[in-house]
Amino acid sequence: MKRGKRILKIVWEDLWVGLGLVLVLCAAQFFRSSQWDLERLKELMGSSFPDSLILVSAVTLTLMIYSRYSVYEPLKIFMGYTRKNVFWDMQLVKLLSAFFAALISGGALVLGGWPLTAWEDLSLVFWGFVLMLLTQGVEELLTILYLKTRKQWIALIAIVAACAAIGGFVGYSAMAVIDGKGLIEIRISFLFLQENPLLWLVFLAAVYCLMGYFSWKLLKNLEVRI
Amino acid sequence: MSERILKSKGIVKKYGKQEVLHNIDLTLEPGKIYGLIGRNGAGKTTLLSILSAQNPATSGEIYLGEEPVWENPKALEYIFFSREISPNGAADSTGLKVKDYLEMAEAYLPKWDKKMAEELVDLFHLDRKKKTLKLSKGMLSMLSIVLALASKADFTFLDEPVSGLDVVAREQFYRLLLEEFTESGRTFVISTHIIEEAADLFEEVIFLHQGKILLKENTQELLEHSIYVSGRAEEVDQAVKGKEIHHQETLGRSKSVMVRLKEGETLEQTEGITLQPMNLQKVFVSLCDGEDG
Amino acid sequence: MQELLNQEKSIYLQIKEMIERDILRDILLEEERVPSTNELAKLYAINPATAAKGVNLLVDEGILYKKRGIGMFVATGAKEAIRKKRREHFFENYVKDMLTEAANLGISKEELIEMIAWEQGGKENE
Repeated sequence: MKRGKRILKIVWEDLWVGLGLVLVLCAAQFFRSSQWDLERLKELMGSSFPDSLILVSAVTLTLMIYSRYSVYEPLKIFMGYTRKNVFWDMQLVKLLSAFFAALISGGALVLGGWPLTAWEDLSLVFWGFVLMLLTQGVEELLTILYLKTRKQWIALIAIVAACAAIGGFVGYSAMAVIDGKGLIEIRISFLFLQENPLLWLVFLAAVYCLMGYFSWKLLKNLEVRI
Repeated sequence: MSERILKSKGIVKKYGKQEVLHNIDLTLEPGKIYGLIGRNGAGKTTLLSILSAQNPATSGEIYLGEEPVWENPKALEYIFFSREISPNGAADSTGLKVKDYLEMAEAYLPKWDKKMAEELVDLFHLDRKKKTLKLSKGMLSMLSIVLALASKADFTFLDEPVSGLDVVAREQFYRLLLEEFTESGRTFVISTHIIEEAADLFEEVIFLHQGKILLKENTQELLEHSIYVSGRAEEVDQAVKGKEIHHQETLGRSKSVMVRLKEGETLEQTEGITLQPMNLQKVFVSLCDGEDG
Repeated sequence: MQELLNQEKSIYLQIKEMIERDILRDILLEEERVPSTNELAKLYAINPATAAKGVNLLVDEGILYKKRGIGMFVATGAKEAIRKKRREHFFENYVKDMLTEAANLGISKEELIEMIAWEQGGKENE
């Protein structure tokens, strides 16, 4: 399989977990409420779906980064794939996963026909993209650090934090659904970022690149054990 | 098939302050079966992992022909080190199934022979759906053998491939190896500490002891030049005067010693001494003795 | 050809001697094809290069010859050549040691001749 095709396959594998989870929760919300019409559906699509998808994807994509780096990437290196290729493949995977998750969220927003206060809604999608990149970046650094040092506690942080987040989110949503509360309005507020978008963007980009730099420094001489 | 030579120059490997490999210069030629022999902890696995770029050397270089090996796909496609898949090694990998390994191999080993892999998996009765965590040591060995043989890599390394295999399975492996070798002429480097069984397969042997190469020689020639001399102590001493000796042992008035003859040297068969040929295992043990320090 | 290898002598020499024995026993006839080095290697689980070494010695001695593209064949007159060679080395390979050992044990030459004539042990057996 060509390299490009392989990368896309990985992106899809990483995405559908989060996607599936959110779809299930939204479907549960939909059926739980007494309103089963198109209007309701559009409401859900426009409000809780996009935000949920971004939050959940941030977590699931992160978990996938851990899984890939700790299991599959060492095996690839073992089979002669260079560390350089592994690294750049993963950069693409991170980028594309976050991008598609953001795209789907954006699409849902549009379909939901939510009054488009263009700037605000677009910004949700954009900062969501940034959030997903950052969480993946952190996880990448943590996992590679774990591979390098073989210190169990690092791996623990990496997995537990992500699991706790997703567990919390699922638990919260499930509780809300069970209690029959109305629309779950999970609105992530990126407003604080909106105050100084350019500054924040530059800062976060710098953080992201720095994490990538350290990840590479640790990865380039990594010893593989399988 | 590549006609290139795999060469290592001045390989040093340190873990913290401890130097595990000291200045290894090694040349591996195409179309040979090498035996890499050494005690546990001698550095065999480390050396093989460095030769295949699975681990970086602390200093020194490895070249395949003109190409450096480290992080170079052009060289790496010709080399594969099928390590022992240990269930406890990287705890993260234990969730992988046999078929996951096979699929990865198909995707990432450029010369992977799927048909051969399938045949071998069936021959060894490996359960494709089983997780490596659940496999016995013998089955894990068989998996690494499948990966090694089906990789079709020009330079294929195996680390203790028969550990965990019963004697019938071991014989089976040696025959499979020979068959593949005679058909493809690939270079194999087999590290082992079960020496005698595999000794006949090795065209050349490399003795690794405490991170240094003690010798690298054609097996037959090494054995022809290694003689075990025993008898009355004085007569033995007389006979071996001026020759390279190892592993002297005395018991009462008798003495035994291993002699390593140089090109053109001979030993006189005199009255009071017995000259006997040695097998590879005895040669190795004799040479290690006295090198310990 | 179905013998086992031991560790008393170099493997390639054992291969050589095995082929010679088979020629003497008419298991391999003159102008007949001999198993290839790969076949020998697989049969005895040894490295093909080792098998080749033994075969090449026989080629050098004129016992075997190579037909390009087909394989190794037993040369005409090989049987006689092997017999002759072994005759020449008989003393060195068998008799010399016997004489040394006999001398060690104080067995006289006359006793030795008797043993050979009667094909049984010496005075101790009477």
